[in-house]
Amino acid sequence: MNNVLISLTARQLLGRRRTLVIGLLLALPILIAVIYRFSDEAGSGEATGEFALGLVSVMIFTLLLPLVALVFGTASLGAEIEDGTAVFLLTKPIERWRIIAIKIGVASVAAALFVVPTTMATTWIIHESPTADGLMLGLGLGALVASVLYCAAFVALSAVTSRALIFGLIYVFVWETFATRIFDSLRWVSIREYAHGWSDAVISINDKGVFYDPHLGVTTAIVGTMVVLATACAGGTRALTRFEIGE
Amino acid sequence: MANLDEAPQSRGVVYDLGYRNYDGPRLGRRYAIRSLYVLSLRNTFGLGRGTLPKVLAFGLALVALLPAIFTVAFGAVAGEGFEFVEHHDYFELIQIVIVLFVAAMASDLVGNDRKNNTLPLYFSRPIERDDYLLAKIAALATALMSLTLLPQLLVFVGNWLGATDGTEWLGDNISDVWRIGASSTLASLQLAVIGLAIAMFTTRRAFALTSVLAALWFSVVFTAFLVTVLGPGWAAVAMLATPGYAMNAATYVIFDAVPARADRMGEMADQVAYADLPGWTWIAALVAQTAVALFFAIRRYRKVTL
Repeated sequence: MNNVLISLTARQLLGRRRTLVIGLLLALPILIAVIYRFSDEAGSGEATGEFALGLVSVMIFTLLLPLVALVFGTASLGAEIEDGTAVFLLTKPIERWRIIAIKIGVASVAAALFVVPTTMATTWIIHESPTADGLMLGLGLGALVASVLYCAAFVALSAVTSRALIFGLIYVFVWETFATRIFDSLRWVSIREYAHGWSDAVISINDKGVFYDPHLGVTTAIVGTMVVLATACAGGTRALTRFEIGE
Repeated sequence: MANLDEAPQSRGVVYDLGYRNYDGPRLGRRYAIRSLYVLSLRNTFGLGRGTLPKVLAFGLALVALLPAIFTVAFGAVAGEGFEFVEHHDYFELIQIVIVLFVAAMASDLVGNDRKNNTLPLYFSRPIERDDYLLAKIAALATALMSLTLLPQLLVFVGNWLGATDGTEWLGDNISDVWRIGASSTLASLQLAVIGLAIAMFTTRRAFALTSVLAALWFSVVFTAFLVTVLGPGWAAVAMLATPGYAMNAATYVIFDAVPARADRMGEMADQVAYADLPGWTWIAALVAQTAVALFFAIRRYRKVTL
Protein backbone atom coordinates (compact mmCIF):
# COMPACT_ATOMS: atom_id res chain seq x y z
CA MET A 1 0.00 0.00 0.00
CA ASN A 2 2.87 2.34 0.80
CA ASN A 3 4.41 1.87 -2.63
CA VAL A 4 1.10 2.52 -4.34
CA LEU A 5 0.66 5.73 -2.38
CA ILE A 6 4.21 6.83 -3.13
CA SER A 7 4.02 6.23 -6.87
CA LEU A 8 0.55 7.75 -7.05
CA THR A 9 1.67 10.94 -5.30
CA ALA A 10 4.79 11.15 -7.43
CA ARG A 11 2.73 10.89 -10.60
CA GLN A 12 0.30 13.57 -9.34
CA LEU A 13 3.18 15.93 -8.59
CA LEU A 14 5.23 15.52 -11.71
CA GLY A 15 2.57 16.41 -14.26
CA ARG A 16 3.92 17.67 -17.54
CA ARG A 17 2.79 21.30 -17.36
CA ARG A 18 3.87 21.81 -13.76
CA THR A 19 7.29 20.27 -14.35
CA LEU A 20 7.80 22.43 -17.43
CA VAL A 21 6.92 25.69 -15.68
CA ILE A 22 9.07 24.93 -12.66
CA GLY A 23 11.94 23.91 -14.90
CA LEU A 24 11.67 27.20 -16.79
CA LEU A 25 11.63 29.23 -13.57
CA LEU A 26 14.65 27.38 -12.25
CA ALA A 27 16.51 28.06 -15.49
CA LEU A 28 16.51 31.80 -14.66
CA PRO A 29 19.30 31.76 -12.03
CA ILE A 30 21.38 29.52 -14.28
CA LEU A 31 20.81 31.98 -17.13
CA ILE A 32 22.06 34.86 -14.99
CA ALA A 33 25.04 32.74 -13.93
CA VAL A 34 25.95 32.11 -17.56
CA ILE A 35 25.55 35.81 -18.49
CA TYR A 36 27.74 36.72 -15.50
CA ARG A 37 30.41 34.25 -16.52
CA PHE A 38 30.67 35.72 -20.00
CA SER A 39 30.25 39.40 -19.07
CA ASP A 40 33.17 41.71 -18.41
CA GLU A 41 31.84 42.00 -14.88
CA ALA A 42 33.08 38.51 -14.02
CA GLY A 43 35.66 38.93 -11.30
CA SER A 44 37.95 36.29 -9.91
CA GLY A 45 38.51 34.39 -6.67
CA GLU A 46 36.60 35.74 -3.69
CA ALA A 47 34.49 38.12 -5.80
CA THR A 48 32.92 35.25 -7.72
CA GLY A 49 32.12 33.48 -4.47
CA GLU A 50 30.42 36.60 -3.18
CA PHE A 51 28.29 36.94 -6.30
CA ALA A 52 27.36 33.25 -6.17
CA LEU A 53 26.26 33.62 -2.55
CA GLY A 54 24.24 36.71 -3.35
CA LEU A 55 22.49 35.22 -6.36
CA VAL A 56 21.76 31.88 -4.71
CA SER A 57 20.48 33.35 -1.47
CA VAL A 58 18.31 36.06 -3.05
CA MET A 59 17.01 34.28 -6.09
CA ILE A 60 16.86 30.64 -5.01
CA PHE A 61 16.61 30.64 -1.22
CA THR A 62 14.17 33.51 -0.82
CA LEU A 63 12.20 33.10 -4.04
CA LEU A 64 12.30 29.98 -6.17
CA LEU A 65 12.97 27.37 -3.50
CA PRO A 66 10.00 28.33 -1.28
CA LEU A 67 7.82 28.56 -4.37
CA VAL A 68 8.76 25.13 -5.69
CA ALA A 69 8.28 23.63 -2.23
CA LEU A 70 4.98 25.46 -1.92
CA VAL A 71 3.73 24.15 -5.25
CA PHE A 72 4.73 20.56 -4.47
CA GLY A 73 3.78 20.72 -0.80
CA THR A 74 0.27 22.03 -1.37
CA ALA A 75 -0.31 19.91 -4.48
CA SER A 76 0.67 16.67 -2.77
CA LEU A 77 -2.18 16.73 -0.26
CA GLY A 78 -4.14 19.91 -0.96
CA ALA A 79 -4.95 19.03 -4.56
CA GLU A 80 -6.41 15.69 -3.42
CA ILE A 81 -8.61 17.43 -0.88
CA GLU A 82 -9.66 20.06 -3.41
CA ASP A 83 -10.49 17.50 -6.10
CA GLY A 84 -12.31 15.27 -3.64
CA THR A 85 -10.06 12.26 -4.22
CA ALA A 86 -8.83 12.52 -0.63
CA VAL A 87 -11.99 10.64 0.33
CA PHE A 88 -10.78 7.48 -1.41
CA LEU A 89 -7.50 7.79 0.41
CA LEU A 90 -8.93 8.44 3.84
CA THR A 91 -11.46 5.60 3.70
CA LYS A 92 -8.66 3.07 3.15
CA PRO A 93 -7.21 1.40 6.23
CA ILE A 94 -3.99 3.38 6.26
CA GLU A 95 -2.88 5.24 9.35
CA ARG A 96 -3.19 8.98 8.96
CA TRP A 97 0.35 9.61 10.13
CA ARG A 98 1.56 7.34 7.38
CA ILE A 99 -0.34 9.34 4.77
CA ILE A 100 1.17 12.58 6.03
CA ALA A 101 4.65 11.09 6.19
CA ILE A 102 4.44 9.77 2.63
CA LYS A 103 2.99 13.00 1.28
CA ILE A 104 5.77 15.00 2.97
CA GLY A 105 8.43 12.57 1.83
CA VAL A 106 7.42 12.50 -1.83
CA ALA A 107 6.96 16.28 -2.01
CA SER A 108 10.37 16.84 -0.37
CA VAL A 109 12.14 14.50 -2.77
CA ALA A 110 10.43 16.10 -5.78
CA ALA A 111 11.32 19.63 -4.62
CA ALA A 112 14.89 18.66 -3.74
CA LEU A 113 15.37 16.99 -7.12
CA PHE A 114 14.62 20.31 -8.79
CA VAL A 115 16.22 22.75 -6.39
CA VAL A 116 19.45 21.13 -5.18
CA PRO A 117 20.95 20.58 -8.67
CA THR A 118 19.95 24.13 -9.70
CA THR A 119 21.63 25.57 -6.60
CA MET A 120 24.81 23.60 -7.09
CA ALA A 121 24.92 24.27 -10.84
CA THR A 122 24.48 28.03 -10.36
CA THR A 123 27.28 28.09 -7.79
CA TRP A 124 29.50 25.94 -9.95
CA ILE A 125 29.07 28.15 -13.03
CA ILE A 126 29.73 31.43 -11.21
CA HIS A 127 32.39 30.48 -8.69
CA GLU A 128 35.97 29.98 -9.79
CA SER A 129 36.82 27.31 -7.25
CA PRO A 130 33.44 26.03 -6.04
CA THR A 131 34.68 23.10 -4.02
CA ALA A 132 37.60 24.81 -2.31
CA ASP A 133 35.64 26.74 0.31
CA GLY A 134 32.70 24.39 0.58
CA LEU A 135 30.38 26.83 -1.15
CA MET A 136 28.77 24.36 -3.53
CA LEU A 137 28.37 21.69 -0.90
CA GLY A 138 27.14 24.10 1.76
CA LEU A 139 24.52 25.74 -0.44
CA GLY A 140 23.41 22.34 -1.72
CA LEU A 141 22.96 21.12 1.84
CA GLY A 142 21.02 24.26 2.71
CA ALA A 143 18.77 23.77 -0.32
CA LEU A 144 18.12 20.15 0.68
CA VAL A 145 17.21 21.08 4.27
CA ALA A 146 15.02 23.94 3.10
CA SER A 147 13.18 21.72 0.59
CA VAL A 148 12.33 19.17 3.26
CA LEU A 149 11.30 21.73 5.88
CA TYR A 150 9.17 23.87 3.55
CA CYS A 151 7.46 20.80 2.09
CA ALA A 152 6.72 19.42 5.56
CA ALA A 153 5.27 22.74 6.68
CA PHE A 154 3.15 23.22 3.57
CA VAL A 155 1.80 19.65 3.47
CA ALA A 156 0.69 20.14 7.08
CA LEU A 157 -0.75 23.54 6.22
CA SER A 158 -2.80 22.12 3.36
CA ALA A 159 -4.27 19.54 5.75
CA VAL A 160 -5.41 22.42 7.97
CA THR A 161 -6.79 24.93 5.45
CA SER A 162 -8.04 24.80 1.90
CA ARG A 163 -6.22 28.04 1.09
CA ALA A 164 -2.77 26.74 1.97
CA LEU A 165 -1.15 28.30 -1.08
CA ILE A 166 -1.92 31.92 -0.26
CA PHE A 167 -1.15 31.49 3.44
CA GLY A 168 2.10 29.75 2.54
CA LEU A 169 2.96 32.64 0.22
CA ILE A 170 2.17 35.12 2.96
CA TYR A 171 4.39 33.21 5.38
CA VAL A 172 7.29 33.11 2.94
CA PHE A 173 7.08 36.60 1.49
CA VAL A 174 5.54 38.67 4.27
CA TRP A 175 7.00 36.93 7.32
CA GLU A 176 10.35 35.61 6.14
CA THR A 177 11.17 38.42 3.71
CA PHE A 178 9.32 41.52 4.90
CA ALA A 179 8.90 41.18 8.66
CA THR A 180 12.35 39.74 9.38
CA ARG A 181 13.84 42.64 7.46
CA ILE A 182 12.25 45.09 9.86
CA PHE A 183 12.61 43.07 13.10
CA ASP A 184 15.83 41.08 13.24
CA SER A 185 14.88 38.83 16.13
CA LEU A 186 11.99 37.29 14.16
CA ARG A 187 14.64 35.28 12.35
CA TRP A 188 14.48 32.76 15.17
CA VAL A 189 11.25 31.56 13.62
CA SER A 190 12.16 31.17 9.98
CA ILE A 191 12.75 28.05 7.92
CA ARG A 192 15.11 29.95 5.66
CA GLU A 193 17.34 30.86 8.61
CA TYR A 194 17.49 27.23 9.72
CA ALA A 195 18.60 26.23 6.23
CA HIS A 196 21.20 29.01 6.23
CA GLY A 197 22.42 27.74 9.60
CA TRP A 198 23.11 24.33 8.08
CA SER A 199 24.89 25.69 5.02
CA ASP A 200 26.92 28.15 7.08
CA ALA A 201 28.44 25.26 9.00
CA VAL A 202 30.03 23.98 5.76
CA ILE A 203 30.89 27.26 3.99
CA SER A 204 34.29 28.69 4.86
CA ILE A 205 34.39 31.77 2.63
CA ASN A 206 35.66 35.01 4.18
CA ASP A 207 33.80 37.77 2.36
CA LYS A 208 30.16 36.81 2.29
CA GLY A 209 28.71 39.96 0.78
CA VAL A 210 25.61 41.84 1.85
CA PHE A 211 22.83 39.48 0.78
CA TYR A 212 23.91 36.40 2.65
CA ASP A 213 23.91 36.88 6.40
CA PRO A 214 22.97 33.86 8.45
CA HIS A 215 21.97 34.79 11.98
CA LEU A 216 21.66 31.41 13.62
CA GLY A 217 24.36 28.99 14.72
CA VAL A 218 24.29 25.40 13.58
CA THR A 219 22.92 24.11 16.91
CA THR A 220 19.95 26.45 16.76
CA ALA A 221 19.42 25.44 13.14
CA ILE A 222 19.33 21.74 14.03
CA VAL A 223 16.94 22.30 16.91
CA GLY A 224 14.75 24.48 14.69
CA THR A 225 14.75 21.82 11.97
CA MET A 226 13.63 19.15 14.45
CA VAL A 227 10.90 21.40 15.82
CA VAL A 228 9.53 22.22 12.35
CA LEU A 229 9.54 18.55 11.29
CA ALA A 230 7.89 17.34 14.50
CA THR A 231 5.28 20.11 14.47
CA ALA A 232 4.46 19.51 10.81
CA CYS A 233 4.06 15.75 11.23
CA ALA A 234 2.06 16.02 14.44
CA GLY A 235 -0.08 18.94 13.27
CA GLY A 236 -0.73 17.42 9.87
CA THR A 237 -1.70 14.07 11.35
CA ARG A 238 -3.96 15.76 13.86
CA ALA A 239 -5.70 17.80 11.16
CA LEU A 240 -6.10 14.75 8.96
CA THR A 241 -7.45 12.65 11.83
CA ARG A 242 -10.13 15.24 12.41
CA PHE A 243 -10.78 15.62 8.70
CA GLU A 244 -14.47 15.51 8.01
CA ILE A 245 -15.58 13.73 4.91
CA GLY A 246 -18.70 15.58 3.94
CA GLU A 247 -20.93 16.83 1.17
CA MET B 1 -41.63 40.00 -28.56
CA ALA B 2 -44.45 42.48 -28.06
CA ASN B 3 -47.32 40.05 -28.42
CA LEU B 4 -45.78 37.85 -25.74
CA ASP B 5 -47.08 40.34 -23.19
CA GLU B 6 -50.67 39.64 -23.98
CA ALA B 7 -50.15 35.99 -24.77
CA PRO B 8 -51.48 34.37 -21.59
CA GLN B 9 -54.61 36.48 -21.51
CA SER B 10 -55.54 36.52 -25.17
CA ARG B 11 -55.11 32.83 -25.95
CA GLY B 12 -56.75 29.92 -24.31
CA VAL B 13 -54.54 28.16 -21.85
CA VAL B 14 -54.63 24.62 -20.57
CA TYR B 15 -52.74 25.34 -17.42
CA ASP B 16 -52.44 28.83 -16.00
CA LEU B 17 -49.12 28.64 -14.20
CA GLY B 18 -49.39 32.23 -13.11
CA TYR B 19 -46.29 33.51 -14.88
CA ARG B 20 -46.05 37.28 -14.75
CA ASN B 21 -44.16 39.60 -16.98
CA TYR B 22 -41.74 42.06 -15.47
CA ASP B 23 -43.06 45.57 -15.89
CA GLY B 24 -40.84 47.41 -13.44
CA PRO B 25 -38.16 49.86 -14.53
CA ARG B 26 -35.39 48.53 -16.80
CA LEU B 27 -32.16 49.71 -15.17
CA GLY B 28 -29.98 49.07 -18.16
CA ARG B 29 -26.31 48.62 -18.91
CA ARG B 30 -24.85 51.34 -16.68
CA TYR B 31 -26.66 49.97 -13.67
CA ALA B 32 -25.51 46.42 -14.41
CA ILE B 33 -21.90 47.55 -14.68
CA ARG B 34 -22.17 49.45 -11.44
CA SER B 35 -23.68 46.46 -9.67
CA LEU B 36 -20.91 44.19 -10.90
CA TYR B 37 -18.34 46.75 -9.79
CA VAL B 38 -19.79 47.01 -6.29
CA LEU B 39 -20.13 43.23 -6.00
CA SER B 40 -16.53 42.66 -7.12
CA LEU B 41 -15.24 45.33 -4.76
CA ARG B 42 -17.12 43.75 -1.87
CA ASN B 43 -15.78 40.34 -2.88
CA THR B 44 -12.16 41.49 -2.82
CA PHE B 45 -12.53 42.46 0.81
CA GLY B 46 -14.49 39.31 1.60
CA LEU B 47 -17.70 41.19 2.39
CA GLY B 48 -20.59 38.81 1.88
CA ARG B 49 -18.18 35.88 1.94
CA GLY B 50 -16.66 33.81 4.73
CA THR B 51 -14.16 34.76 7.42
CA LEU B 52 -11.06 33.60 5.56
CA PRO B 53 -11.25 36.05 2.63
CA LYS B 54 -11.91 38.90 5.06
CA VAL B 55 -8.87 38.01 7.17
CA LEU B 56 -6.75 37.71 4.05
CA ALA B 57 -7.76 41.05 2.50
CA PHE B 58 -7.82 43.15 5.65
CA GLY B 59 -4.68 41.45 6.95
CA LEU B 60 -2.70 42.32 3.82
CA ALA B 61 -4.09 45.86 3.80
CA LEU B 62 -3.04 46.24 7.43
CA VAL B 63 0.50 45.03 6.73
CA ALA B 64 0.70 47.56 3.89
CA LEU B 65 -0.38 50.25 6.34
CA LEU B 66 2.11 49.28 9.09
CA PRO B 67 5.04 51.41 7.89
CA ALA B 68 2.71 54.41 7.65
CA ILE B 69 1.38 53.76 11.14
CA PHE B 70 4.96 53.59 12.45
CA THR B 71 5.77 56.85 10.75
CA VAL B 72 2.78 58.57 12.28
CA ALA B 73 3.30 57.07 15.74
CA PHE B 74 7.02 57.73 16.00
CA GLY B 75 6.68 61.04 14.21
CA ALA B 76 4.27 62.18 16.90
CA VAL B 77 6.77 61.21 19.61
CA ALA B 78 10.03 62.18 17.95
CA GLY B 79 8.75 65.36 16.36
CA GLU B 80 9.77 66.93 13.09
CA GLY B 81 12.51 65.44 11.00
CA PHE B 82 11.72 61.83 11.82
CA GLU B 83 11.18 59.81 8.67
CA PHE B 84 10.73 56.05 8.82
CA VAL B 85 9.79 55.86 5.17
CA GLU B 86 9.47 58.55 2.52
CA HIS B 87 6.71 58.91 -0.03
CA HIS B 88 8.75 57.88 -3.05
CA ASP B 89 10.11 54.78 -1.26
CA TYR B 90 6.80 53.54 0.08
CA PHE B 91 5.73 51.36 -2.84
CA GLU B 92 9.11 49.70 -3.04
CA LEU B 93 9.00 48.85 0.66
CA ILE B 94 5.55 47.25 0.56
CA GLN B 95 5.72 45.99 -3.02
CA ILE B 96 5.56 42.31 -2.09
CA VAL B 97 2.44 42.92 0.00
CA ILE B 98 0.73 44.74 -2.87
CA VAL B 99 1.71 42.02 -5.33
CA LEU B 100 0.40 39.28 -3.04
CA PHE B 101 -2.88 41.20 -2.74
CA VAL B 102 -3.14 41.52 -6.51
CA ALA B 103 -2.30 37.84 -7.04
CA ALA B 104 -4.83 36.61 -4.50
CA MET B 105 -7.63 38.94 -5.57
CA ALA B 106 -7.13 38.75 -9.34
CA SER B 107 -7.25 34.97 -9.33
CA ASP B 108 -10.43 35.10 -7.26
CA LEU B 109 -12.15 37.88 -9.19
CA VAL B 110 -12.05 36.28 -12.62
CA GLY B 111 -11.29 32.69 -11.63
CA ASN B 112 -14.35 32.11 -9.45
CA ASP B 113 -16.75 33.21 -12.19
CA ARG B 114 -15.26 30.74 -14.63
CA LYS B 115 -14.95 27.93 -12.10
CA ASN B 116 -18.54 28.28 -10.86
CA ASN B 117 -19.89 28.87 -14.37
CA THR B 118 -21.47 32.18 -13.43
CA LEU B 119 -20.24 33.94 -16.58
CA PRO B 120 -23.35 33.03 -18.63
CA LEU B 121 -25.45 34.63 -15.92
CA TYR B 122 -23.52 37.89 -16.17
CA PHE B 123 -23.65 37.97 -19.94
CA SER B 124 -27.39 37.34 -19.98
CA ARG B 125 -27.66 40.79 -18.39
CA PRO B 126 -27.33 43.93 -20.48
CA ILE B 127 -23.53 44.09 -20.19
CA GLU B 128 -20.99 43.67 -22.94
CA ARG B 129 -17.83 41.59 -22.69
CA ASP B 130 -15.73 44.73 -22.28
CA ASP B 131 -18.01 46.06 -19.55
CA TYR B 132 -17.45 42.97 -17.46
CA LEU B 133 -13.71 43.42 -17.73
CA LEU B 134 -13.94 47.13 -17.01
CA ALA B 135 -15.97 46.54 -13.85
CA LYS B 136 -13.47 43.94 -12.62
CA ILE B 137 -10.48 46.18 -13.32
CA ALA B 138 -12.14 49.17 -11.66
CA ALA B 139 -13.00 47.06 -8.62
CA LEU B 140 -9.47 45.70 -8.20
CA ALA B 141 -7.89 49.12 -8.80
CA THR B 142 -10.20 50.69 -6.22
CA ALA B 143 -9.36 47.96 -3.72
CA LEU B 144 -5.67 48.50 -4.40
CA MET B 145 -6.05 52.19 -3.55
CA SER B 146 -6.43 51.15 0.07
CA LEU B 147 -2.92 49.69 -0.13
CA THR B 148 -1.37 52.50 -2.14
CA LEU B 149 -3.22 55.77 -1.61
CA LEU B 150 -4.33 55.24 1.98
CA PRO B 151 -0.89 54.64 3.57
CA GLN B 152 0.62 57.48 1.54
CA LEU B 153 -2.05 59.87 2.78
CA LEU B 154 -1.49 58.62 6.31
CA VAL B 155 2.22 59.39 6.05
CA PHE B 156 1.35 62.84 4.72
CA VAL B 157 -1.07 63.59 7.54
CA GLY B 158 1.37 62.14 10.08
CA ASN B 159 4.19 64.37 8.89
CA TRP B 160 1.86 67.34 8.93
CA LEU B 161 0.76 66.70 12.49
CA GLY B 162 4.37 66.18 13.55
CA ALA B 163 5.49 69.51 12.07
CA THR B 164 6.17 72.34 14.49
CA ASP B 165 4.45 74.90 12.30
CA GLY B 166 1.56 73.13 10.61
CA THR B 167 0.50 75.91 8.27
CA GLU B 168 4.00 76.57 7.03
CA TRP B 169 4.66 72.84 6.50
CA LEU B 170 1.43 72.49 4.58
CA GLY B 171 2.35 75.43 2.37
CA ASP B 172 5.71 73.81 1.57
CA ASN B 173 4.42 70.33 0.97
CA ILE B 174 0.97 70.79 -0.52
CA SER B 175 2.28 69.74 -3.93
CA ASP B 176 2.84 66.26 -2.50
CA VAL B 177 -0.90 65.69 -2.53
CA TRP B 178 -1.20 65.51 -6.30
CA ARG B 179 2.00 63.48 -6.49
CA ILE B 180 0.54 60.97 -4.05
CA GLY B 181 -2.71 60.86 -5.99
CA ALA B 182 -1.06 60.49 -9.39
CA SER B 183 1.49 57.87 -8.37
CA SER B 184 -0.95 55.67 -6.49
CA THR B 185 -3.59 55.87 -9.23
CA LEU B 186 -1.07 54.90 -11.90
CA ALA B 187 0.36 52.08 -9.81
CA SER B 188 -3.06 50.69 -8.85
CA LEU B 189 -4.32 50.71 -12.43
CA GLN B 190 -1.18 49.10 -13.78
CA LEU B 191 -1.14 46.31 -11.19
CA ALA B 192 -4.87 45.66 -11.50
CA VAL B 193 -4.81 45.40 -15.29
CA ILE B 194 -1.68 43.24 -15.48
CA GLY B 195 -2.80 41.01 -12.61
CA LEU B 196 -6.24 40.41 -14.10
CA ALA B 197 -4.90 39.93 -17.63
CA ILE B 198 -2.64 37.13 -16.40
CA ALA B 199 -5.18 35.55 -14.08
CA MET B 200 -7.67 35.31 -16.95
CA PHE B 201 -5.71 32.68 -18.78
CA THR B 202 -6.21 29.90 -16.28
CA THR B 203 -9.03 28.61 -14.14
CA ARG B 204 -6.91 26.89 -11.51
CA ARG B 205 -6.46 29.26 -8.62
CA ALA B 206 -3.05 27.90 -7.72
CA PHE B 207 -1.76 28.38 -11.23
CA ALA B 208 -3.20 31.89 -11.56
CA LEU B 209 -1.70 32.93 -8.23
CA THR B 210 1.75 31.67 -9.13
CA SER B 211 1.70 33.23 -12.59
CA VAL B 212 0.72 36.67 -11.30
CA LEU B 213 3.37 36.43 -8.62
CA ALA B 214 5.98 35.41 -11.18
CA ALA B 215 5.09 38.25 -13.54
CA LEU B 216 4.94 40.99 -10.93
CA TRP B 217 7.46 39.93 -8.28
CA PHE B 218 9.93 37.36 -9.61
CA SER B 219 10.52 39.59 -12.61
CA VAL B 220 11.72 42.34 -10.27
CA VAL B 221 14.29 40.11 -8.57
CA PHE B 222 15.37 38.64 -11.90
CA THR B 223 15.83 42.10 -13.44
CA ALA B 224 17.69 43.33 -10.35
CA PHE B 225 20.33 40.68 -10.96
CA LEU B 226 20.23 41.02 -14.72
CA VAL B 227 21.02 44.74 -14.45
CA THR B 228 24.14 44.01 -12.41
CA VAL B 229 25.65 42.09 -15.31
CA LEU B 230 24.47 44.22 -18.26
CA GLY B 231 25.59 47.51 -19.82
CA PRO B 232 23.39 50.63 -19.44
CA GLY B 233 21.56 50.10 -22.76
CA TRP B 234 20.33 46.55 -22.19
CA ALA B 235 19.82 47.24 -18.50
CA ALA B 236 17.45 50.08 -19.44
CA VAL B 237 15.50 47.76 -21.75
CA ALA B 238 15.20 45.12 -19.03
CA MET B 239 14.01 47.64 -16.47
CA LEU B 240 11.52 49.29 -18.85
CA ALA B 241 9.97 45.89 -19.55
CA THR B 242 9.60 44.96 -15.86
CA PRO B 243 6.30 46.11 -14.30
CA GLY B 244 7.79 46.51 -10.82
CA TYR B 245 10.60 48.71 -12.10
CA ALA B 246 8.33 50.87 -14.22
CA MET B 247 5.98 51.39 -11.29
CA ASN B 248 8.67 52.40 -8.80
CA ALA B 249 10.65 54.44 -11.31
CA ALA B 250 7.51 56.36 -12.30
CA THR B 251 6.94 57.04 -8.61
CA TYR B 252 10.48 58.38 -8.21
CA VAL B 253 9.95 60.58 -11.24
CA ILE B 254 6.61 61.89 -9.99
CA PHE B 255 8.17 62.74 -6.62
CA ASP B 256 11.25 64.09 -8.40
CA ALA B 257 13.41 61.73 -6.39
CA VAL B 258 15.62 59.89 -8.90
CA PRO B 259 19.01 59.84 -7.15
CA ALA B 260 22.01 61.51 -8.73
CA ARG B 261 24.17 58.49 -7.89
CA ALA B 262 23.92 55.83 -10.56
CA ASP B 263 24.93 52.37 -9.41
CA ARG B 264 23.89 49.16 -11.07
CA MET B 265 24.89 47.15 -7.99
CA GLY B 266 22.86 49.39 -5.73
CA GLU B 267 19.23 49.62 -4.74
CA MET B 268 16.38 49.92 -7.19
CA ALA B 269 16.53 53.73 -7.27
CA ASP B 270 20.26 53.65 -8.06
CA GLN B 271 19.69 51.10 -10.80
CA VAL B 272 16.99 53.32 -12.29
CA ALA B 273 19.46 56.22 -12.26
CA TYR B 274 21.99 53.91 -13.95
CA ALA B 275 19.64 53.54 -16.94
CA ASP B 276 19.88 57.34 -17.30
CA LEU B 277 16.59 57.83 -19.13
CA PRO B 278 14.47 61.01 -19.18
CA GLY B 279 11.76 60.87 -16.53
CA TRP B 280 8.80 60.68 -18.89
CA THR B 281 10.04 57.37 -20.36
CA TRP B 282 9.28 55.58 -17.11
CA ILE B 283 5.75 56.94 -16.98
CA ALA B 284 5.34 56.08 -20.65
CA ALA B 285 6.58 52.54 -19.95
CA LEU B 286 4.07 52.17 -17.14
CA VAL B 287 1.22 53.36 -19.36
CA ALA B 288 2.38 51.17 -22.24
CA GLN B 289 2.51 48.05 -20.04
CA THR B 290 -0.98 48.80 -18.79
CA ALA B 291 -2.25 49.28 -22.35
CA VAL B 292 -0.69 46.06 -23.63
CA ALA B 293 -2.14 44.05 -20.74
CA LEU B 294 -5.53 45.69 -21.30
CA PHE B 295 -5.40 44.81 -24.99
CA PHE B 296 -4.75 41.13 -24.27
CA ALA B 297 -7.37 41.04 -21.54
CA ILE B 298 -10.05 42.52 -23.81
CA ARG B 299 -9.13 40.18 -26.64
CA ARG B 300 -9.24 37.24 -24.28
CA TYR B 301 -12.71 38.06 -22.99
CA ARG B 302 -14.16 38.75 -26.42
CA LYS B 303 -13.20 35.23 -27.37
CA VAL B 304 -13.89 33.38 -24.13
CA THR B 305 -16.38 30.56 -24.43
CA LEU B 306 -19.05 30.48 -21.79
